[in-house]
Amino acid sequence: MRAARLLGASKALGKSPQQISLLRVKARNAQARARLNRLFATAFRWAPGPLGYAAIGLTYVKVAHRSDGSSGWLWLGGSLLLVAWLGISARAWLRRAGQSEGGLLLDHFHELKGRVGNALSFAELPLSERTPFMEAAIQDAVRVGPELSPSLAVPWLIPRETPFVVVLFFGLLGLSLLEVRVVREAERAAPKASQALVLAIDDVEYFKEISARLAEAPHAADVNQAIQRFNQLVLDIAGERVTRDEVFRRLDALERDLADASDAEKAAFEQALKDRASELKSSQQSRALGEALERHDVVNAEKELKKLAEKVRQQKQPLNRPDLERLKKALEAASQQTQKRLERIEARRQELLSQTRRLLNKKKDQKPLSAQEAKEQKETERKLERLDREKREATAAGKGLAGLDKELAEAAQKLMKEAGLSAKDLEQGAEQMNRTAQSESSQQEKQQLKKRLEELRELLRQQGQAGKEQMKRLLRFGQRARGGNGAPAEGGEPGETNGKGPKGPITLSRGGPGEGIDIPGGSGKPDARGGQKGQKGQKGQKGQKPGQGEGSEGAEYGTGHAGGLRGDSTKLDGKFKDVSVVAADTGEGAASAEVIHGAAQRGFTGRGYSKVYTDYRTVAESVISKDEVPAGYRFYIRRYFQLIRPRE
Amino acid sequence: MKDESIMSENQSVTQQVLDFQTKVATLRQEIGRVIVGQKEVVDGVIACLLAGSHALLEGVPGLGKTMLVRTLAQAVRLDFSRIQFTPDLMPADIIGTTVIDESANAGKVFEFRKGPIFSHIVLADEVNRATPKTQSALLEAMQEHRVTVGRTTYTIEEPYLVMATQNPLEMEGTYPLPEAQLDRFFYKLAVTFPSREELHSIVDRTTTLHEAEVKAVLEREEILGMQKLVRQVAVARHVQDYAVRLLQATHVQTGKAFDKVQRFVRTGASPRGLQAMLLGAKIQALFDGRFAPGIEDIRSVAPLALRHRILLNFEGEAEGVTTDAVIEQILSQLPESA
Repeated sequence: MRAARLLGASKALGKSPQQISLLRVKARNAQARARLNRLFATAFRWAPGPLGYAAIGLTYVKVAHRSDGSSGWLWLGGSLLLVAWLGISARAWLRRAGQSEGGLLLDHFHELKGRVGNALSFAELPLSERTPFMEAAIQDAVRVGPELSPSLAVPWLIPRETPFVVVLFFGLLGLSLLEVRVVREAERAAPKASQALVLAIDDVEYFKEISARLAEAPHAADVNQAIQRFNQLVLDIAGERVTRDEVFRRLDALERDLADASDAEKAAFEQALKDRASELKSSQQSRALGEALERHDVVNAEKELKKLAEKVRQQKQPLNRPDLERLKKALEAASQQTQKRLERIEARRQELLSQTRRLLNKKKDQKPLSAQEAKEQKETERKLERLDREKREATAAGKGLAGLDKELAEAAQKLMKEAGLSAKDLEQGAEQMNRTAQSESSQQEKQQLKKRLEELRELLRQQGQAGKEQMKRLLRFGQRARGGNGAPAEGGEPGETNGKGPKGPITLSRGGPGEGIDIPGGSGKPDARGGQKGQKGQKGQKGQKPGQGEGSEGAEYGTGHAGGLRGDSTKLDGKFKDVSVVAADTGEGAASAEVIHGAAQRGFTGRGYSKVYTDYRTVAESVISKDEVPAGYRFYIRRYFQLIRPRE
Repeated sequence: MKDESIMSENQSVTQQVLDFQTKVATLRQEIGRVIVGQKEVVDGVIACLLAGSHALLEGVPGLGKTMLVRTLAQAVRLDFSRIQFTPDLMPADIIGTTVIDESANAGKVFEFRKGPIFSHIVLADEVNRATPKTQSALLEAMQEHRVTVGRTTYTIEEPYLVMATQNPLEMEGTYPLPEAQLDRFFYKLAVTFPSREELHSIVDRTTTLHEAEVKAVLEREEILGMQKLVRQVAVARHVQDYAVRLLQATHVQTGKAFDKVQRFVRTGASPRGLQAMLLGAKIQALFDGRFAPGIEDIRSVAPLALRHRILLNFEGEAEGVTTDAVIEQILSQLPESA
């Protein structure tokens, strides 16, 4: 048997080059399979590391909701693990267990006792170095070459860790699809500041209402942004998340952003509009436009400009030449208003400057100035300062109307030559006017917001001065306003009455200093019209404070009542019927009294009351705006109305 | 033309290998007439003969060690001498001695009478019972195949095979062989206890009238030719590399020593161990009719070639660890290719 094999080996001579190639291919194949097996084995052995890490990391991110930068370290760690895993796997793939590995694997499986490995090793040598034994060994291996099977010699191996890794992988996949429900509690998210500003609920609600109202209407982008910031501030105050300092700081920032147009600049702007209006009024065609501008009615001015453009464009009833001439002049003059005004200011300024220079030169020449001259110098300096300011304002106003001026000038230029083009310029002017109108509207909104900011600031300031006692009173007031049982205020039960009639109407009265004020119908029946005129003695003894009437002595404003009050003021379950009462003319200005039947059980809301409240408040605001109330008292008036506002 | 010459060479090699196999088979057969079983030991002894080196047989008394060597000597038509080592055995007793020879013509002359060591096959029975002095007398003969007496050096005729036996049990009054001498043995063969079947055969053969007759089947020249053929066998680089790594692995000093080596080995095998492994592997390949040894051949001869060359430390001795266990661990953990 062995002899036959040996003889067979000798016969195989001559076929060796091809056969040895076959051996090589099979050995390489076996080696590649072995390397892949190693790669898989290594990759699966180490895979639980990164997969486990990923699972833990993902769980952490999902549960702790760390989707921001704080999860960066997790990513870094994961990346490092992944790189390490890839590196280990790559090393397993790249590691060659010797060139003879394939041959050895084939030898082992086919029990060839190293024949293939030896043959491949000997075949590497040059022919001259091969001994007869080497040749014989090669031939011996070549003979068995066709029977070799790399796939059988190196079968694919399923790594031991495969089930674990698969489970882990799918677990991770499932985890990534899993969504952890987040209970977002905005209030909890931001912890309360230790020195947080505390406002009465009533005030908070008031500002919340305001901010809600402001947010409802559409605004310009910058105004919207400011409103959002104001809303946020109110929410933060409500949530007691901000300190007093922080509130003031944010108020300042908001006010700074809103304060882009000073009153002086606004006045300069209005003056500029007036200037243009006076010029435009000189032409019959543009008179309506001029009048609209004079009234600062930019919306109408836009419409008038459009009408004018249409008129210019009309071919059927073209404007006659004198009309055109006048219109041209008016447009030109209007467009040059800023320039003219600036020129005027500059001329005056130069004049004053030369005067100042003269006085300065005199001073330089060691000549003492007379008292008249010193006064004159001071006066000149003041005038110069004023002129500089005017110039700045005029420039600012001119900038606001530069677009309109340009269009008017171009329209004037083209008016005589090409009516169509001129009309186009006028339309563009109308667009500019529209923009100006929008800007105006935005300014108004800003003013509105500024007003609210001032209110808030003033409230905080007052609260800071009044301290805790006022806060307590406000809280009580707020509770009662919601129908709760606030603790009685000092000075007795408010609204206490001696009246013993049926549950009747509440009569709002204005208290006077010690004397009752005539309130027509104050003691009238619910359906009475006119009522009796209150007598001075009847209405109240001299109280120590305003508002103290006959019925009871309230310690504060609004705690007393007129003598004619019927019914139990604390049980306001009267009829739901509004009755208007025309007050008699007392000859002391406009007066009215309105009787509101049965305020709501809860608080003192009611449709009628809202109406009355609005009327009174409007009047109050109007008075305040006319500077008829000293600045120090405005807050109290506003505060008063704020506190007695109708509530839902 | 070149192909033809290669072919003729190849045929010649093939023929030589076939002849080798036939002769070995015949020799095994003749030895097998007397020796029952012990295939590994028989092959080991033959391998030592063909490698031109020596064998150390270790086993309890009565296992046929002496019988094996004697049978081999009978089967190969070579001179055979047996030396029973005893504590009072002197070097001269094995090397030979100079005596005065009186002859009529020449008168009295000193003449060297060669001792038993000058035979082709020397059986050094119970070699560990002789004193180190006598044991060392074997050293030069075993390594150099020559003996120096006085001013004269006497060459020992090839082939030369010393086969020493020792009894591992009776250690009292013995002189364990020094490391240097152990290293000179090509293989250390462990003669194991026969199996049941083998015992039956032994009894059948030795307790009846049947007397096995061993014929000489190999001439001296044939043995020398076979020895030459063994050395012509080529070894692939990766196989040789495996043998080298295997040898290195027996040393504690090498960086990645295996656990048992680290703990129990005092000194690893010498380069003679590597030579023994490679020659032994070649002989194994030829026994099997192959033209080159494989790693499996190295693995199969490694215990025979290394077990007496590895020296255990005190801990190893104390724990009863054998060198075979150390080699086994190395063989199981050493990668075949690197």
